[in-house]
Amino acid sequence: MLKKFNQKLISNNPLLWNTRVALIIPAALIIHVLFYIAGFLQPIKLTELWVYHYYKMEGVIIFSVLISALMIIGWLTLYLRNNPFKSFYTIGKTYLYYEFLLIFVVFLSTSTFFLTYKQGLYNRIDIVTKDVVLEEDANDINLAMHFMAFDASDFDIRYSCDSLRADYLRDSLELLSKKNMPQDAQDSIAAAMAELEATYQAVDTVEYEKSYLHYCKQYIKFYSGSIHIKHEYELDAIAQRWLLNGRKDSITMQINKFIALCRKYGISNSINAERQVDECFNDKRHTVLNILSSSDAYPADNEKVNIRYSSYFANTYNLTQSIEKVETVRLGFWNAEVLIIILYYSLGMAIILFSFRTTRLKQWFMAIIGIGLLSVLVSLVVLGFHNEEQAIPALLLTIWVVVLFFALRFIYKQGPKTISGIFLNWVFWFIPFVVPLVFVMIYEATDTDCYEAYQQGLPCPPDAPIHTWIGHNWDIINGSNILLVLVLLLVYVGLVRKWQANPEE
Amino acid sequence: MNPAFETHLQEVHSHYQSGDAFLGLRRLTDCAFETQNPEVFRKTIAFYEWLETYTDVDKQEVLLKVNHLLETIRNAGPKAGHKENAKILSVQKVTKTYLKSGFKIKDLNFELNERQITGLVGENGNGKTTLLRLLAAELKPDNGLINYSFAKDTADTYELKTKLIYIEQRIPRWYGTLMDNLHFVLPYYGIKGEDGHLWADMMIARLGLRPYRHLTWNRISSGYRTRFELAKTLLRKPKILLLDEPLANLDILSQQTILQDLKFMANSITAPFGMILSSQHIYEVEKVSDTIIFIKNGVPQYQTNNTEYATGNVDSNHNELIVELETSATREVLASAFNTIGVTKIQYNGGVFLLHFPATVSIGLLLETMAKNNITPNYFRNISNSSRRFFIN
Repeated sequence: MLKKFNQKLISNNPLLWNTRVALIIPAALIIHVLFYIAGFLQPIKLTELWVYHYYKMEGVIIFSVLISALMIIGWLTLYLRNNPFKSFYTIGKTYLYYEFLLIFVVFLSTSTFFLTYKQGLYNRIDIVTKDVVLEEDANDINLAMHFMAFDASDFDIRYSCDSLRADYLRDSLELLSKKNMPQDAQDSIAAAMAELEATYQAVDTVEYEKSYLHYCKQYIKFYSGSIHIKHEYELDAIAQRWLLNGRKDSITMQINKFIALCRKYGISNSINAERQVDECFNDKRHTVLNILSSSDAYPADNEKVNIRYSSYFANTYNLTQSIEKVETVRLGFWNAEVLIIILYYSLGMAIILFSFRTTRLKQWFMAIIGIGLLSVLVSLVVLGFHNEEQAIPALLLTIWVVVLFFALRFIYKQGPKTISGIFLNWVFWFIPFVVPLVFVMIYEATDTDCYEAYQQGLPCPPDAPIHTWIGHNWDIINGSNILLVLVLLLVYVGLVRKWQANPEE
Repeated sequence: MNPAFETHLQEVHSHYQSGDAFLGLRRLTDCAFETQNPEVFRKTIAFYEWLETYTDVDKQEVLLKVNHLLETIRNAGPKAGHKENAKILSVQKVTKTYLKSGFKIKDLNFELNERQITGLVGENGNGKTTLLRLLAAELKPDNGLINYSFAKDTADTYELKTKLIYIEQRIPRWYGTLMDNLHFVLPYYGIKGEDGHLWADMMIARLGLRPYRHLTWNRISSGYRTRFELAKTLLRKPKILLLDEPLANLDILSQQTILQDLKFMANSITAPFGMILSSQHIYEVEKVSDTIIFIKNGVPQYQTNNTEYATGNVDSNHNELIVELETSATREVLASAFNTIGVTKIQYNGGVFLLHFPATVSIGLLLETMAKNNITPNYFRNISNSSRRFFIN
């Protein structure tokens, strides 16, 4: 049946047959399925979630790359056998374009096995952690951490919520004082700053005091923005209320919640809620006297000599890992950036192979060597420039335009074929970089010089709208560039067709 | 009924009648090709299979089948009518100089029509391949004009090169079976699916490659590789076929067969083409060529239908009788014998004597003199009108 299919393909669609996509793409799909299954069948438990870190992917990535490389090598030995273009078979003007797209698809389908594995793994973790309510767990841990001192510096008065508010106020006043304001407003600001400075000096007199009242931190943080947990000020308010009102029962319950969460996520600990509550209330100022260890083997490296290490511990690092893992899995990894990286990799590989396929080995190798020499030359020239962020793109784009000009001239005037072949390769290889480099140039040229403003005691001027837009839309620029490259390829296939037919000398 | 086609059919019948089944079958296949009819192709291939299965069948039975097949072919008729031999190539005052070596091809002037074969002869390193590469648009002439009349869009050189097929002396390696390679070529020329299989089968049969169709590059001899390359090329419907030393890998019998086959195919009613082939096998090339271009030190000299219109520096002593003679007799014996009839020059080259006589000396007189003087010829050839005489030092 396979032989019959092969015969049918060769006689009806030689491009599909010759590019062996009917072989490589199903093979790639099967391998993707196998990688997915391998990821999905990982024996993951909620209590061992902390074990599965990113570094666990390294082996899979190496294996995946190896499989991809073997597949591509095997595919190339078949694909490179026939070249109707170089043999001057009658091919349509879009034939080469379709051939490029097929090469692109081949690289795309064979380059992401490890991501499929990761997807399988994530889906598995998703199933295992489906009952986890991240917001609740994070809030419970974050509140409990107010009553358990794992790191003495977190309980320093300088990092209390009041201090943080004061820091923010001081920064705002400083900024205001630099602006042109009426005299009475300036006086009020100066007075407020003086008052604040006095408070700072007062705080300094109780230097290094560590108290359970000072903790102001979200121990578990989510950066995605889609998970909303209690703010540190909100947590601080609750903790302060419980400590100042002697709500030992609430604190005990909170620590027990923490212990339950440790059990849920399989985190080793020896926390004793009652003992820890006593610790919080050992004096009126709720001074931190004993530091818990965040591991049973290695106590935290705390700075103060007058603080003792408790014999109690909880592996908070692993707890964080577990929570973060659940968050990571729920967020997934398929975002614009990952897609663009995969697309650019496939596009780059397809361009390199397609140029090899459409020009000659000699010109292709000479173009590679030439690129190396050109890089050295550009580096040397750039050394003479102050602003290399702008100089490099400008220089590269200028070289590209010059090379493009001569490539076109030589191709249309039937000039030296070796040189035009090298130039054509360069032009083609550089196409994906042209638009991004233009945007880099614009971005750098419209960058605001904050340093100069600060030197003059002025606030940093706002960025130009185009600068801001570029800064926020790199994914759109890069994504659109891929589409543009695919369109520009139509021009390349026309050029290389003409080049191929030109006399050798 | 197309008269040319009818003549071809009669030829087939006559070959079979006279017992030359080998030539008859080849011409029969050519006639079948002219129809471009799948049903005819199917029946022709079935005939081949029948011949292969029943190797010792009666001649009359074969003739019966042949007549039946010829009738089918006659009824199908040629796909297109016979047209006059259109001019497909015109070369005017073309020169090409290699800057590095200083070698120069000088003042090329000739034309090529459909169904015409031009032989290109000359010693090694005298510019045969350069000339072919110029015609194949692989080299750019320094001066002059090469005009391909079949190129619709002169700006699209690629399109031109698809119809201008140049087979180099060293045949590039191919992969897979011979048949798969032919199947691969055909869809590019609009022949797809089952039709493609029929065309490939026909061409394989025509060039005597049926026993080798499922073999790969490594398993067939260089001679069959050449045949295969020709099969592939002919399926590409060339307008001009440029062959660089196509006979180099072929045995003596195959050389004659292939050249004859190429002549037949170039002379097709429906898909005619012109051909230029270079070779060291002067006599074989002369047999099939309408024109000979002899090239020496880049200077061409032309010969058409035994009439020379030489240009350049080549010494053209065509007003004399020149013969090649291989004999055990010594130079002295030959001189003494042929002085009586006015021999002007005796040269000895590679075991063969080249004897020059005034044009007034006839072959009869020459043979008579040899007989009288007991000179036994092992090999004898009149090369007065052959380009072989240009190879004399």
